[in-house]
Amino acid sequence: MDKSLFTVGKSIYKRQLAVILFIISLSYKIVMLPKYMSIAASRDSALVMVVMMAIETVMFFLVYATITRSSILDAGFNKWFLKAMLALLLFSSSIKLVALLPETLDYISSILFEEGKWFFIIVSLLPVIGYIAYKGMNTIARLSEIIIWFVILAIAFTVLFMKVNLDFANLFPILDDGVEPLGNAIDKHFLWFGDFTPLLIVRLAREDKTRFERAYPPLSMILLDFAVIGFFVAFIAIYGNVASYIDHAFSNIGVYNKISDMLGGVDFPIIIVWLMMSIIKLSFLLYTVTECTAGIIKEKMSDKGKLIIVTAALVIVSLILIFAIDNIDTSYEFATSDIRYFVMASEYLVPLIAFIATAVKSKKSKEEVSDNSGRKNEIAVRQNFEIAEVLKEPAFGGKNEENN
Amino acid sequence: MKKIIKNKWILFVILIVAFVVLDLQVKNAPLANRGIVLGIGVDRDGREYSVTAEFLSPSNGGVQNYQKNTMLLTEKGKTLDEAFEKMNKTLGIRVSLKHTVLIVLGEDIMKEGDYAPLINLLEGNSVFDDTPIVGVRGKAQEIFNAKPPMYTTVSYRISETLRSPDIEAGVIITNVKDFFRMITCECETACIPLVDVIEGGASETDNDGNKVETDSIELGEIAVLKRSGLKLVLNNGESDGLSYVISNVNEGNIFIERDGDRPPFDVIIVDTVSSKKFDKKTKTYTVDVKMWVREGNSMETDITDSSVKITESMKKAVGETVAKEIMQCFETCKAKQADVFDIAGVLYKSMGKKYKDTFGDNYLENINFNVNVKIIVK
Repeated sequence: MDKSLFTVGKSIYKRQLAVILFIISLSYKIVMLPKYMSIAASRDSALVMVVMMAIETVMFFLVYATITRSSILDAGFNKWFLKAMLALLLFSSSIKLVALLPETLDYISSILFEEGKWFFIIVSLLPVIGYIAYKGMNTIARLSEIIIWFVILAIAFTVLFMKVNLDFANLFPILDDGVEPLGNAIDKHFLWFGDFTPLLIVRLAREDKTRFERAYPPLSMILLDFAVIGFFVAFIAIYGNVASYIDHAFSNIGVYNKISDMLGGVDFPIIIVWLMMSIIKLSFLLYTVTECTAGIIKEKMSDKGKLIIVTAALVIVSLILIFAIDNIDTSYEFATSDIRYFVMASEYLVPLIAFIATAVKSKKSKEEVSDNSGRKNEIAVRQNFEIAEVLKEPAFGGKNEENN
Repeated sequence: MKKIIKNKWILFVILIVAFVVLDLQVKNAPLANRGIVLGIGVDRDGREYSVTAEFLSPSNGGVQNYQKNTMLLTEKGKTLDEAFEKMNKTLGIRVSLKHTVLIVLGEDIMKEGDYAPLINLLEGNSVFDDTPIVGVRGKAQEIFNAKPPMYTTVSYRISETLRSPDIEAGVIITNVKDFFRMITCECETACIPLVDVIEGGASETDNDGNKVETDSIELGEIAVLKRSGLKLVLNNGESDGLSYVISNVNEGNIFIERDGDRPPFDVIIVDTVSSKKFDKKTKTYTVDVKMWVREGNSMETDITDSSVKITESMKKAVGETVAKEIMQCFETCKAKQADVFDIAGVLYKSMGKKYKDTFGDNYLENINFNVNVKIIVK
């Protein structure tokens, strides 16, 4: 019997998961967060990231262990328990979507345009995100697989032609102001972490195309840790005390290359690549919002219903961005307000609950299967004896002693 | 309605029209209506800033002769943004700062320590972080009135020298990011090269074969700035000493006069690497400089004689000259409490904030400054 209560589309491969987790986690940690962390923790912001990425790694392995058993939507949980989890996921993903979108809008407004008006960017960008979210997880997965090559090329280009003074002495002395700034930095910026929780609704393909595929997501997580921490170390090494002035860290670092000396600013590979990554991230958040809403409202929501949900979500988000959170400073205030604690609770508790619940469910299922197989054997044996009695033959083969 | 949505081509056309309409709403200016700013000069004029911009105008087309395609404009404003807005109105074009290759600070800006315009440029992402900054005696505006060679502009001419991979002694490069990093760090001291224009210092021939006098633009002195403003200007020898420590000097000659009958000689600098360390026990700050050199032109008296080599005494003489220039730079700056070698930064990194308790505010007086120069013949 198909225990899946919700139609979430086909499953994705582990290699696609590896790419998705890299993109959705990296994208918003390398734009405004370096500046915010520098303001809060100065040169110790790299240390803050070490701590936070360690927590993220643990959360990832909880999520990965859960979804390798099954998506929470297919695990056969009690309806209300599942809806409660979906409600928490919906809440945290919605808040993150509203809080992180302004970073993309500000990025486009200040880097691609000269203080372009947010309204026009919203009208252009949101339908794209909505369409990708509506098309589902497979579309997001395939797009990620295409985009990752551009990401790799852009990073390789930046690193190969890099011309900058990296003064690692800027990172010292460590913890000169004590641990308090670290605590403040972590406390204030929870919203930029907990990126893997929405992956709980993702279905992973059961079969692996190659025997190494199982290792891709953990390897990707390790690579992500190095990438994020390495970026922050490089950022502080380049900017030192000035780090707290630097918006859009990723694109600013892209300027420091030898080709810029000859041709002027050649930062567009980085700009384009980051935009792609942010669209994937935002689409994934919107997809989570859609699927969670669908799951709460109705079992087996139709595509038409999901389209209505996506549209409604986009309209609500647009109105919030146009009338309420209409600049990057307001968005930062919102992201660091008390609402971050509720998001944090959702982002960190749900994976733990899901992990325990799926583990218990899985154990119960195994016990049921072994009970069922035991009962089936008993029935088979009784049936054989009954038949044997009728035919006057041995129940399980062997010679008939009477005949002999 | 459903038929329209289902028809992909109609939907495609609707989307294209929608995005074109959106694009028209966005405030934008085509390239021909933009003034590409190459260099910005900032002076103080009473309570306002006097901003001079050297523009490259794409509407004139072509880059064969930069001189014909550039123009200068000076506007005043309480902030840089206000001055640029006035330029927009005056010229009827949109000022674009993202291609700025040079920022020039006038003497009055340096003396007052008024770095607010630069902070605005850095924070507002208006110019790239690695845009070089130079200073000038007098008004920044006058620099842009110089006549550079025909193939280039004043801004490009200066920035080419600064960005060149061949760095001569006495030349340092300070960009917007590094300027603020040094001003806001423990040493609170930043150094920027001073530009000097020598009128009629050079000449060239134009396409018609006529000799045209051009101005020579040179970098020799270095301005030492603190948060409070300009502290001092290093002379040529002191500038050389500073550059050996904070730049990778890899070009130019060191000329050595010797006592008695021994002839003078020069060596060519191939490369320079420096490092700094601090010994807590002896309270000694040591600058170690490694310099690779080769025989200079003055030593080639006979091209058939390949036996001319740099001797140990020559190496010692070169090392002593370099060390003397570095020490001279330190002593001059110490007298003005200007920490050009970021000694405070090294103290802070090794001792934390306690260095202030140990050495006090006059830490430059309370440490031993030592220079080791190692000359290696390549």
